[in-house]
Amino acid sequence: MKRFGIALLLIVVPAIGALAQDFKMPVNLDRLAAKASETTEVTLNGRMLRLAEKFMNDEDDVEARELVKKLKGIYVRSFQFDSVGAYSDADVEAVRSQLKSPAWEKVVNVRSKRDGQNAEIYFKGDNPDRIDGLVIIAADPKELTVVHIDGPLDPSDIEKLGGQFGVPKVEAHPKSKPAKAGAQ
Amino acid sequence: MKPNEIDEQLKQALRRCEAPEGFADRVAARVEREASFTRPHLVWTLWRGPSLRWAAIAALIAIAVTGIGYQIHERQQEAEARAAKQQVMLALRITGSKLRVAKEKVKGVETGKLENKL
Repeated sequence: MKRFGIALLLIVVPAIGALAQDFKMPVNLDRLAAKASETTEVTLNGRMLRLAEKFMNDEDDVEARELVKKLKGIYVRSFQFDSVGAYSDADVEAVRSQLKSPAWEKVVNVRSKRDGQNAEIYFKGDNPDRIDGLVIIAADPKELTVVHIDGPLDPSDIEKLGGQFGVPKVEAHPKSKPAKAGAQ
Repeated sequence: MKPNEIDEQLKQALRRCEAPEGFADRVAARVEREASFTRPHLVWTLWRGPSLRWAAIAALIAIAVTGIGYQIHERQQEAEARAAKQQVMLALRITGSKLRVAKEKVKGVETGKLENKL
């Protein structure tokens, strides 16, 4: 019986640890869509990414395809509001609270009182040559964006992401209807 | 019956007589007809039976339905993949723009600090 208990602990504890490291888009974020004038919602799990990969054959898609190939998921929630104060700090805190586990490290924290533009960037993993995930929280008085990229990324990938990346121009907020592409 | 009578009757019965007119032609025609007639193939025999015919029709319908279903599935998957690609590009663009904003902010803070020092 004692052995069984130890075995159970050995299985359950790492599983709980792994779950604690996982980041999920909080449900309260989706509720903001009702208040937002424009919403962009991207939910791409591994299966959808593999599917997308098949059609990334253009010359412009090469870099993006190489990046996407390694990823397990891409999740974006972006809301634009007509008025200030449409979302609360509690909404953002629901995102931040998941990133407090030791697996996540805040690498950028910009808070601007002048224009109210705040940006937080979190990396997952402690390998200096590779990160296992990326979360961006970008908050303006009238806009809130949360990006979660799940999967291994090299520093060069981050650089490419921050650069032009060869990604063709796509309207960031296509109308007000959220665009769904899969399930997280 | 006397032996002579029996002999007479046998002679009568076995006497040579001429064949009816056209007999040889009719025999030849029949031989030819029977030679050209071949026994029907087993598959043909079974095909003429209703069960195999229906089974074959059902199989053909099943093949056609499967083919059409596969085509529809392929087209749906292609449309799904194209939509997924658009979503990937959109997500990467948003990520890129937010990373750039953060980068510029960090750069701005560093420049500000440097200017303050100067």
